[in-house]
Amino acid sequence: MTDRDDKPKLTRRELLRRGLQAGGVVVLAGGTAGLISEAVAGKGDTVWQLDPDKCVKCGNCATRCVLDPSAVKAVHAYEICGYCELCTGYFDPKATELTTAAENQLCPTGAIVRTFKKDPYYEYSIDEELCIGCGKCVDGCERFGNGSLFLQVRHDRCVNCNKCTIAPACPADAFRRVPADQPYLLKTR
Amino acid sequence: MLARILPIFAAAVLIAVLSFWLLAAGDGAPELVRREPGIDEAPRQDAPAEPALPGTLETFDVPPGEPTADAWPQFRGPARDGIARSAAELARDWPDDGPPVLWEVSLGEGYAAAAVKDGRAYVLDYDVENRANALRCINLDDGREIYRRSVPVDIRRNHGMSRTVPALADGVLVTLGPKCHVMALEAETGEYLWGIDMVSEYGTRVPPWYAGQCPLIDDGRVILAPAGDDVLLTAIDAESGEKVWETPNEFGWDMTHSSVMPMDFADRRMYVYCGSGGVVGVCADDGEILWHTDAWRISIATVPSPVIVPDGRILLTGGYNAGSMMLQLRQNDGGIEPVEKWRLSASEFGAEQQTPVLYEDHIYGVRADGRLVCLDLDGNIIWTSGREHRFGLGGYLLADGVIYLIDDDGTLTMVEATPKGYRQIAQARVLPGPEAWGPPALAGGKLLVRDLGRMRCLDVSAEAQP
Repeated sequence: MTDRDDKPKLTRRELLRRGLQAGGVVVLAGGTAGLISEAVAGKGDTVWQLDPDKCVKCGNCATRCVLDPSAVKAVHAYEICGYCELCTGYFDPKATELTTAAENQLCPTGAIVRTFKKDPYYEYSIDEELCIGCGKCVDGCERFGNGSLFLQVRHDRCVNCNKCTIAPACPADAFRRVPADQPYLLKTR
Repeated sequence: MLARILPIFAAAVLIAVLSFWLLAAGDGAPELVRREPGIDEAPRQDAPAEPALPGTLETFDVPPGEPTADAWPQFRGPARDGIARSAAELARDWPDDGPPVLWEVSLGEGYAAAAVKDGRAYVLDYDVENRANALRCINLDDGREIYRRSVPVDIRRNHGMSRTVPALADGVLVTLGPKCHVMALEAETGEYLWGIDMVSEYGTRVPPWYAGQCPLIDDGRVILAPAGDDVLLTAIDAESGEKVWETPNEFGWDMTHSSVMPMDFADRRMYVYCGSGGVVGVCADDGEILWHTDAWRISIATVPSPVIVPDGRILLTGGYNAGSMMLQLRQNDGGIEPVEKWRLSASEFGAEQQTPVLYEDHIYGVRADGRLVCLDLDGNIIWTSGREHRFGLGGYLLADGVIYLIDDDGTLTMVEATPKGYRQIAQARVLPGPEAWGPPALAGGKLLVRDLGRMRCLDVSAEAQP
């Protein structure tokens, strides 16, 4: 047990030194916080997003993101989809039959899940773990179908780089910052 | 020595442990899934056929309209070439709000279009309320219904629910429904003659978005392309329904949306059909395959029908990046050999949905970017309508040297059919749209046009115009 009186005595010099140290930490922390908040505020609380109306499905989203696989994923506007048996976003144009066999599928990673609902409708959903954001399905869907598949930066993955590595590689200038509280540019009917 | 070996040994052990940890843990390594047929749990299509035919007949005590001197008795008109032989003089100008609308009827969603003969218009509609194919016989003058034969078939919206044109000849009317039910009726009364469910009879696979094949009646026979398990084409006696001949489906082709076209070559009559795997010509007498080629096939959907061009030529065209191809038939050691004469890319010319029209050695058609194109028979583009005049997927026909085109939104445009250039004569909005894709029909100066949900009869005769 230690008596309270056993504590070493704090000299005025020591008190001043500690006070200055504490003040320095506060100033440093405050300054850093200020800088961070300014940096964030500089982005205007925004995040990167891809305008589906500008996207040309070039494939750069799959390869230029700092993440591997890319934070860009195909998404599906179900209200636009025709639920067709012959989905041109799902089937390779050279498919010999309309089955789920790998050779008939357009997606290189099998990320589009086709599910029979009821005659004649099929539902197409995206397995985001497999999607690499190459846009092949988007191209097929837009070229020959209703255009219900499109690409978006998924913000559960995107690290919101200060300078997005995909944006300068986008030939259509489709990347821009959008408000963080409205982070998606969705297609609607 | 030990001091040199020890670090190497330790590093090797470390790498081995790390590798084992990474591989055995399985983190980040997705489980391999075999992508095989049937993952979507789609049912096989050879389910028991619905007991549909012959359906029921309703009559409405309505007389037919005044008979017209001309007719539009089948898909693409009297000669199946998209050209009306109009007996009436046609107007070259319209009021601002378009030609007079004589009548309008509501239709189930779709693109099925009319055949016209003897003051009657016939359309194979889909009755959504009663869930039935409905062959509706309509007074051409006032749009009142004369009779309706309804055949229960469960059709759901799938880019429209109807999409074919009936065929009429010698008092017999033949229809082909969205799920491949063929039905022959007495045209005037609607009495049932015979019918075939091609799915159960031939093992036909209903094409995606339902069947678009329009039946052909030629020389008293109904010519169909079931493209089923064993039969590619068949001829059936139009009155009795008796089989005349069958062409074996030795290539295993499926049915497409394309229709069978008759052709005469080297003193022989034949039927030309674009199946899922190529094009075939069969003898009209016995169904024997005279020639075939797999040089023309469209994996997604073959929709336009072959355009028969004089001197043994056949224009094949399609959407989905297919472009166009001119096939040349040649006699060869007693046989017929199809040879590719020229080919055009999709950006040059490829009609996605409608079949182009051959008129005075030029081909007129709308390509995938919506522009009307005039081609010569060597595949040269003579002119296009340009970016400011586009027509989408709407239908068109030619009459009296003029092309009538309807665009997706229901705007009707009259264009001179001339290689001298795009010369627009008149234009008016005649339907509210959307998807005015059903091919128009013209008889007695009356033009029948439709959009997704209605059909209108327009008076385009010169008499009707002020």
